[in-house]
Amino acid sequence: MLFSSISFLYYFFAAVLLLYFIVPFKFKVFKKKSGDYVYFEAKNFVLFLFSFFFYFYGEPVYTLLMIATTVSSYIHGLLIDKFRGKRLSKVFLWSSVVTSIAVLGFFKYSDFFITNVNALFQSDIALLKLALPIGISFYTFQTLSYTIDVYRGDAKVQKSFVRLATYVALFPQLIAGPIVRYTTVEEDLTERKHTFEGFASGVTRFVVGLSKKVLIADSLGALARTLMASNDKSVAMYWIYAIAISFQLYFDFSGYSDMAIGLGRIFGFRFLENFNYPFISKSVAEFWRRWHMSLGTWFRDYVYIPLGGNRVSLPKWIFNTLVVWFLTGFWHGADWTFIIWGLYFAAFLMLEKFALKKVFEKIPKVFSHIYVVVVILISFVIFSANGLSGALSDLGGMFGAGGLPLWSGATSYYLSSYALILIFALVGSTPVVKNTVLKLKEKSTLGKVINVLEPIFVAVMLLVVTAYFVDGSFSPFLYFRF
Amino acid sequence: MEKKLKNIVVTSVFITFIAFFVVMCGVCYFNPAESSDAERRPLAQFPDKITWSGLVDKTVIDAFEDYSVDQFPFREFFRGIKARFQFGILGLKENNGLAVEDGYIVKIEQEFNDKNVEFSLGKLSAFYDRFIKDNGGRHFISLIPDKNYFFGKDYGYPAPDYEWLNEQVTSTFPGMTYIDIYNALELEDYYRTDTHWSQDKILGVADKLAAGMGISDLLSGQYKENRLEGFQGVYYGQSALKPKPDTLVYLTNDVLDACTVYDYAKNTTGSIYNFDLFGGKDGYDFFLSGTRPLLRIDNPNSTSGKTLVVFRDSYGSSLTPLLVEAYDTIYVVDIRYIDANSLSMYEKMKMVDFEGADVLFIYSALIINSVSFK
Repeated sequence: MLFSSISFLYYFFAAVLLLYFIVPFKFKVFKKKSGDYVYFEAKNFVLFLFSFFFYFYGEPVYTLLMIATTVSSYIHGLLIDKFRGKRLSKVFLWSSVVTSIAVLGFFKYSDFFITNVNALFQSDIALLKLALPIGISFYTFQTLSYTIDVYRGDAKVQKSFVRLATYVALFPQLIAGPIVRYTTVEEDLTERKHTFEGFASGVTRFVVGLSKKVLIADSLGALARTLMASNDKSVAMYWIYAIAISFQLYFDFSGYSDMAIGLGRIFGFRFLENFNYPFISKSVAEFWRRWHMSLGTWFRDYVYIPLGGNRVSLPKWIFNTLVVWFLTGFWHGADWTFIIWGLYFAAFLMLEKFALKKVFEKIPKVFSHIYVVVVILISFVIFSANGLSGALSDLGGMFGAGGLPLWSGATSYYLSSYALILIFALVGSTPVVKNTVLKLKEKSTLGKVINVLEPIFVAVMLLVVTAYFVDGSFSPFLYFRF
Repeated sequence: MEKKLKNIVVTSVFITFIAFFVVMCGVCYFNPAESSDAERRPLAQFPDKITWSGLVDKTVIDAFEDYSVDQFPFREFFRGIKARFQFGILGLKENNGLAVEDGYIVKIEQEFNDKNVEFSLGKLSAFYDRFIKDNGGRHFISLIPDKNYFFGKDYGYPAPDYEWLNEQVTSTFPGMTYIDIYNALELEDYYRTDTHWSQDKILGVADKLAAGMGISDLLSGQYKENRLEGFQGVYYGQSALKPKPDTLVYLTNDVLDACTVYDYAKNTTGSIYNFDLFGGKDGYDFFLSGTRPLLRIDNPNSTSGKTLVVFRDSYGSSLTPLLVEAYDTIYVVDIRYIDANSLSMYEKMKMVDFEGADVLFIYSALIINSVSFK
């Protein structure tokens, strides 16, 4: 089920809202001999049930796989905690890690490995052709973070299966992130506040995310598809394509994260931010501190630092960096283009560390900004390409390979048609609007005006996105495939 | 407004908004719409059976998704909002592939689909080889440009390569005489809300064809203009913008009034214009009763002794009457709805006779660029 659909907004979400806010957070079930009460956590249970239905609705066959992953994490967590300080604790940690990675590897990467083995050894092993379970990369990383954090002592073991299952399956972040660490919501699972402020800010954030996805990302997606299908291509058209898909990816994924964070707030959860205006970065390193932050910090905390981080010899640091960015690329998809995409960033991070950082300190910031934008545009062309040959062809187009003209009639037409959306996207990718609103809010009169405008904005945008749903502006979120 | 009050208002607005449409969805569940007049298609209904296997294989879920969108309350209102937002706020030049300028609604096409064109010309070619090639008559072919050809030129929108399409047509049918009608047309000759041309504006096209076919002397070109108000073309509903409806104009004279039209599939005889169909889903069906597989127009006033076979689409329905004066009999064939075997059956039963007849293939680029033929 997509957030940007009638079925979600007016059926599923309406039902879960009603039930969630009708039931108490918890109520006494019975009194134990010790005198303590056993509670039934009704709100968590509602979220747990609806979240599983949410997953079942989108991926009926693989619902059992997600339940099995949750049960595995639950049991491993208990065992790690039970044998804390003993060798068995580490054994169960590794068992948990291997199980999670094996499941992810089998369902996501089997055919990639088989294809490469076949190519390398001229063998003819049949492909498994498994459908990729929706959101498997996200919930696998979440369950991994749970067992690792329990082992490290960063998180307390969760003895309530419903609470842990609610965390893993929590529908706002289940299928397209952000990767919410267990420690982030540990407290909220046990006790959380439901306030008008939380609900209202959640609603506004959700509507902003929905609008970003439906109005900007999907429109730019349509532009990118049209440009690639055109027979009247030009060098400029390839660059417009690069801009369109870069903004599409940003508004799609950050829009989804906004929705997830907003929905979380409505239900009293406080998820961390996943994007922080990455396109204003002045280095690739900064870009990755602002883009898909939950993934970046996950790899930092569970791979990079355990490997030794940057407090190691130069060759080891280079090795660590390559490993992390190989995995980052591979996480995004079972294809060499994603691996190259990850290593492409590793190359620029090294280049910045050894050479560019010093250069950037001496030149005007605008040049470092232009450098980042060009590097990012090229990266997303690789990311979105249809295989390696497709990536080479698209990149070739950007640099005039094959005698492409610089401009064409179709380029003019599409640029003029999509100019406003591209401008909206450009402005929306910077903190200009947010900062302006915050500044205006500081002034008491204007702050009151903005408070009046906010509910109007919510209603109007809901009306518009609903119009897009009804007219069939249906397109799946890009990050579902990860 | 204070922040605390604002939070209450935002919460209330959101819940009220959702709740209102949830209730309205419930109303729609009990009163589902069968079809959409604007989109000219049936609307999805609530899944018939909800079974476990249907849930697991997602057929029920997919059916529910379709239902939830198709049966959403105030559907046309929302489609209108989307169209206005696309054009007015986002500044896009198209909504669902339709562009609007000065009231003209046009489907924008970038290029022809070479596979579709190859398929269509292949089908036409097969009919030509089987029924026409050796009939001993004269053979003509013409191509009708879509209005996007003229719209693109007038308003700076892209249009497919019509030169390429003409080359495909002429090279596929070297034995037919190609009659170019492009310069007899302009954007104003087409309806604003429809894809079709207006009959009163294609007298120049009829003249061109008549000249090419050598029948100019047999056509009077004298007609009386008649009007039917409230013609909502195919783009009227699709655009969701509630544009001003067109006026359908049709031409009559004594010859046309006297003609009879025999419908082979229905075994009925009627007249050139079918008033019953004007108020139907497609008002353009008014001409020759619309999408009929095989018709025969008998002209009792003709003394030419000539027969014409027209292979056509709906554009031909309004054009053919303008050629009637020159022929005793005109067979009108629409191979979107009749296959070669059925046509052959009529031939064997001597119900049609193409021997020695003039033959005109006249198709719109729209149809040639689609997979419409049987």
